[in-house]
Amino acid sequence: MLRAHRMIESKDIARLFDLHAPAVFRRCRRLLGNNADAEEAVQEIFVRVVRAGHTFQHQSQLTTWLYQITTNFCLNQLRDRKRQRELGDANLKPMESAVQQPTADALTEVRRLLARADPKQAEAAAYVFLDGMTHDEAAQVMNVSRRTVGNLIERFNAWATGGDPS
Amino acid sequence: MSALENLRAGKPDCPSDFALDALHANEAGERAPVLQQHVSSCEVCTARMAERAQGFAAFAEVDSRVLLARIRQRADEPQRPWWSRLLPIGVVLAAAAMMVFIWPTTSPVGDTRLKGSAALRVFKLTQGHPQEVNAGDTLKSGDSLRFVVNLPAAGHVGIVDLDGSGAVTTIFPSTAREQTHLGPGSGIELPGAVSLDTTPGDEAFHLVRCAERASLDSCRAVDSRELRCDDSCEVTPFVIHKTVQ
Repeated sequence: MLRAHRMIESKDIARLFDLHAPAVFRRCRRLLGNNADAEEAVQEIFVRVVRAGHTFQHQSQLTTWLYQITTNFCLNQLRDRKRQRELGDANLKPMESAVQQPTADALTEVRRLLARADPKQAEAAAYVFLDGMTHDEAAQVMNVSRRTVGNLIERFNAWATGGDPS
Repeated sequence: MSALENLRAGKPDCPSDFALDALHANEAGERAPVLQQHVSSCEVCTARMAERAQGFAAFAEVDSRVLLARIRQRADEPQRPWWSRLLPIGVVLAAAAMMVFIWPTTSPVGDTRLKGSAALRVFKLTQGHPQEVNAGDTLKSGDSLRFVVNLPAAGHVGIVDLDGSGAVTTIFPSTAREQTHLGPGSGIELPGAVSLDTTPGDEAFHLVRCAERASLDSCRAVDSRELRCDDSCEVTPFVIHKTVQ
């Protein structure tokens, strides 16, 4: 576990990587849709983890923190204009896994929505719809109330079905 | 939004990925017993947890050693100030030149290094000129390499190669008389160069830093992908892909 005001040492990097990087990779691939982008994202996220190790607050759990920075990083990637153009053409097959996966079309569609949605609503939607979080869990990760998560999801749903995002 | 609600892993009453990731990382706290109970009684979640237990072995297409080596390499690079990305390169160069002119005694902004993070840098010699290699790059048999290390603290240093056949070769020190105790510093060039042989497969160079010189000899191959040294040693791998000419 990281300690406040202390840089991460080499052995700690390997331990953190072994324990947490596969989960980060899994989420990145799910959010971004391909291995190459997911690997880039894992690199970027773990470089941030290593560099920010001394500022990590011990009272927070690393899984929660990694969910936050992974979601923000991947949603920013999805919002990138170039990336939005590529979404239509990319070969976004669901990854091979022992665990049953949703269809590629459904994931492609949700990536399109997340890329265009209001950032806060997209964050809540990623946690609830893709990660399967309860509203309580999403509220914990987003540092907001459960009610706020409910409102964000409601507005996201309204917007995604043709309503107004605000 | 039923289409969206079907995207999550597991059944609707199964724990979220977040809950299972926290359980896997031993961070589930009070929820752990309930989650464990669900996992043991749910076939889908047993498979989800088994996938987590496999780590990167669940993703055959990903070479986690390369990924980790790149993270180490990038984390060890000097950090650029945030504003440098906002300015055109010319303006940055001009500003940097002025900074050097006005405050010649100021340390470069990017000189911050991580304490405790030893790093191995590999250079390929092309017509006598060194060209830095990134972890995961593809090199050819016959390529000539030199090694540079960054050390946060003094120690006995070795470079140990683990090739695709599982053979272990000590690249540095190359003789018993060679000085292995190095003080802290960055950009320390190690003497000598090596040429890649024709053994097929990946090549993993390991920077090994130990308190005692004798411990440098403790490194053994667990298999063709993992080198294990004495517990007192810090081991930093650097993996490259090799093609045979």
